[in-house]
Amino acid sequence: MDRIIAIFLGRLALMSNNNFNKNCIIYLKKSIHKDTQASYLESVFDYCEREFNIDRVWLMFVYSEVTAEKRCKSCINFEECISYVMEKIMRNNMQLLTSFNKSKGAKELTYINIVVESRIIDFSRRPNSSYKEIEFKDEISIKDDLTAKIIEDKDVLDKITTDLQQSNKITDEEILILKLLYQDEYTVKIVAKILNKDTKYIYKKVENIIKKFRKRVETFV
Amino acid sequence: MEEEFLKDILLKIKKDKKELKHISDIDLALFIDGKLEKLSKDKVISHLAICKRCREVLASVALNE
Repeated sequence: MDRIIAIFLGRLALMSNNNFNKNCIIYLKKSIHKDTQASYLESVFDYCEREFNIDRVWLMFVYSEVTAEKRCKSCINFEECISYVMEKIMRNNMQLLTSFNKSKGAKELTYINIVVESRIIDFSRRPNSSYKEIEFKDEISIKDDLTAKIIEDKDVLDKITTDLQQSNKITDEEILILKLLYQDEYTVKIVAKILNKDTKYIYKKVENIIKKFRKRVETFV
Repeated sequence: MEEEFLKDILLKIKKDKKELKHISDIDLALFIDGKLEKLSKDKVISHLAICKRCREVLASVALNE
């Protein structure tokens, strides 16, 4: 059966009552042609049948698939990437996805994005992966002469960071900011978003870290 | 003797890698939404400081928001 028809029927079921949902699942399951690339759909319908909850399962599935398609665009092996992500969601995470607990306070949208994104990252981190990483433009650079010299040498950076960490002069949050900015090379804007802070906060933290580094380097010299 | 020493180190590295348990999807979502409690938030920050994979997940979500 054509995948688009299945999606249409799924959406129809989403707007209908429970009896119709149940019949719809049975019909959809019967209609899937074994030769088509509908293996995920089959798993989804199996899941719907078990849970008797097509609306929620279907909504989560469709949204995850749309998100995965959008995100996998940056990958050379688009098809391989999307198959990997959706298979992982179907096999291990469909229950996690559908039993999402709103009362904990996270947004449903953020949660689905995290679920999809973490599977894409796992795909990209496999050995011999052909995944093409997204390029982060360093639009806001904070590198004065001293820090630039230090961060160029990873060993020096590690040595000073460990030294400051051992003497409790640098917090885990500062180490995280340092790694995000100088090791992973994300922009201040991205780092601020990750930490749910504004960019001013990050700049202030960086200023503090640089001061600590400067002080420590001076004692080495 | 040296060989045994190297084997021990390799085993320790493997064990350390296995022990690095990633942050759950729900906690990552709560963290980026700024909804985690102080104690859990500190734990996530400590993990992120040593885990590139979890940093990458959060950065990709932040970038695509």
